Amino acid sequence: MTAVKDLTADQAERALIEKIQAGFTVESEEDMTPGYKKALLTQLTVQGDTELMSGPAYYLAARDAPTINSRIAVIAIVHDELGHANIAYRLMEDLGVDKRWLIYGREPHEFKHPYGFDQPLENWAEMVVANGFFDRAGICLLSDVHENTSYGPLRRALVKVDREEILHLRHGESWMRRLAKAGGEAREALQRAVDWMFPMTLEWFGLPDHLKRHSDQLVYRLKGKTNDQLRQTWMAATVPLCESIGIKVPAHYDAAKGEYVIDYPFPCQYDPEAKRWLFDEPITWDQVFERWKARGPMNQRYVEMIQGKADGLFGGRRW
Amino acid sequence: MIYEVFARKDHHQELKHVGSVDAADDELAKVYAWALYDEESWVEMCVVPRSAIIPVTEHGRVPVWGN
Amino acid sequence: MVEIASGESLNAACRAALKNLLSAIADTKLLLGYHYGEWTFGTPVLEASIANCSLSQTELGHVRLLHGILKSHFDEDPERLLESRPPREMAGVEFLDRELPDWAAVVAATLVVDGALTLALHSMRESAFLPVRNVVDKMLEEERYHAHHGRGWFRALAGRGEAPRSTLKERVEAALRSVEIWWGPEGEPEDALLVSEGIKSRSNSELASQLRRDLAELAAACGVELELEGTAQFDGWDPRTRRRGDSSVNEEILYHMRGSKNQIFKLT
Repeated sequence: MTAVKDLTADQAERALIEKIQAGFTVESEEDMTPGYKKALLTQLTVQGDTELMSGPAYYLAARDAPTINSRIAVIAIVHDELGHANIAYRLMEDLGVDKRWLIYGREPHEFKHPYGFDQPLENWAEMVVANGFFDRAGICLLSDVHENTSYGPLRRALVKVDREEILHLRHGESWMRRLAKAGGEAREALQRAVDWMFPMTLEWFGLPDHLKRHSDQLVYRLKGKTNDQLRQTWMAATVPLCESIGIKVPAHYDAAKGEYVIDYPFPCQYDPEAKRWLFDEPITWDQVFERWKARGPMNQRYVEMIQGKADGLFGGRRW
Repeated sequence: MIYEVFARKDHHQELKHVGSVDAADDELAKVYAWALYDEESWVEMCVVPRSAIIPVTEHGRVPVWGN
Repeated sequence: MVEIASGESLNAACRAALKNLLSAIADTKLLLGYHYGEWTFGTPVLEASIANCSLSQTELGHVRLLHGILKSHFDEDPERLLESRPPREMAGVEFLDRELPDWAAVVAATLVVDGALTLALHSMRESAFLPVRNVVDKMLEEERYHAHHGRGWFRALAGRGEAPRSTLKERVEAALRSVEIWWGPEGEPEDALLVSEGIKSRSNSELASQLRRDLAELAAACGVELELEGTAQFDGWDPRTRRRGDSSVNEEILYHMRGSKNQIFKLT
């Protein structure tokens, strides 16, 4: 895309890109070019906001946890997620961004988390599928960053993050197995959750590669894999899991192609009130971006939870 | 104020830098370090105000902590 | 020193008294766990959210631990304690019965209510009753951070000008009045028995004085004048609920804590 041309046209940018390709690790702001810093801050914003917004989504589900053990487990997950958000924001703060503004100063629609965390998780099945699917997506994205990033402080910070995300994922997957095995209403709820959350996560990985060949993040080696490669990694874990517990998903492995194939027109329309994907209504990616930009049903509520009475006596904007 | 957080897993391991926290005072820095960096049951954890750290190496602005 | 290894070895009166005390601590911790969970959001800084989230986990962990002791040694059914007991039978500190209205109330709960429980646990460090003594130090180690958080934020709010300081004062005094009732009247027979049998090292009135002293010292260092002297009335006080009158915890809080919405997911 155009960004790449612009970058390589600039001598300093080109020099940094070449250094990075040769294995250079960026450690301080002085090592950065404006283009690098911008791409890094964009990545950290998305990373921090995603972790942050999973907090209220998971907490509202944890609040009604079926048992004290499951309550503690999910509150521990919320705790990890907020800690991860804090790590991303601390890295940004060291690059001169106002952390208080990041958390308490932005409008709900200005956060850069995926559309999946604008949705309500209304029962325990949805909670654990979020761990199984959304946290799995988080690991696919972050472990790729961890392995490839040229930014030293982020690489070091991700050791803790990766390790904890794997625990969330195991929590989700073991509950998905339990619910499938339990049968009856619990299993039906699990299938209903998978029905809307599987396509939701597929969309999360963004534009397919044939529409987006290059990104600043790849050029600066802030990540290593393309959107489609990450989507494949995610399906390679989730499709076999669901198949093994007899839960249906709209994707399958195509042995001839050697990859996972989505079984519906991708992307397509979504009805957030009914939590239903309209497989007979294909849309363009521009329409997807419009839907994301308009934000989902819980965006306002989740941000209000985080910010609290931000202008009040004990508010985050005054603190 | 920013505090750097250091910890060691057991008595055979070196004290290592595990992260950083923003806190209004030393007492809150202790809680935040404990709450944020709970990935291990550390045998030792301490916090140091970033402003108290004196760089020894001379090139650039290294160390850049930021985790 | 006498060592009592199991609930059956306690005399009947002592066993009843200890069961009431442990249930009351567990009930209060359950509510602290709830409120810290709720206040994982809407705090003045993100770090405080994360700290509250940790505090919620440790409180709920302690509930689980205490319920285990109540089950093994006092024939209690943890599921009954949590899920089917009428709210009127619960013995939490009244300050926690409703949603905490603001951040100052959360700081007050941490400093005063959580602090009171820590003192109660501390009085059992050398307990003759081994099942409790064996777990107290682990709980107290975690409680240290709760105390830091309460004290740190008391100091921070006290230093933020008149309005936050006066709200803080009001909330801390309200929490203390509520805790005074929970401690019970001076010389209360069940508490006296627990002390004389070596289950606790200090009576609740001594612990109450200690709490007031600690608060006075902190407040003085921060330039806050607290009204600390108790005016609690105890007629009709019930050792089982540790309160008088018929107040009880908000049903909505219990609805959440019982997992009522997720009945079909209570798998065995």
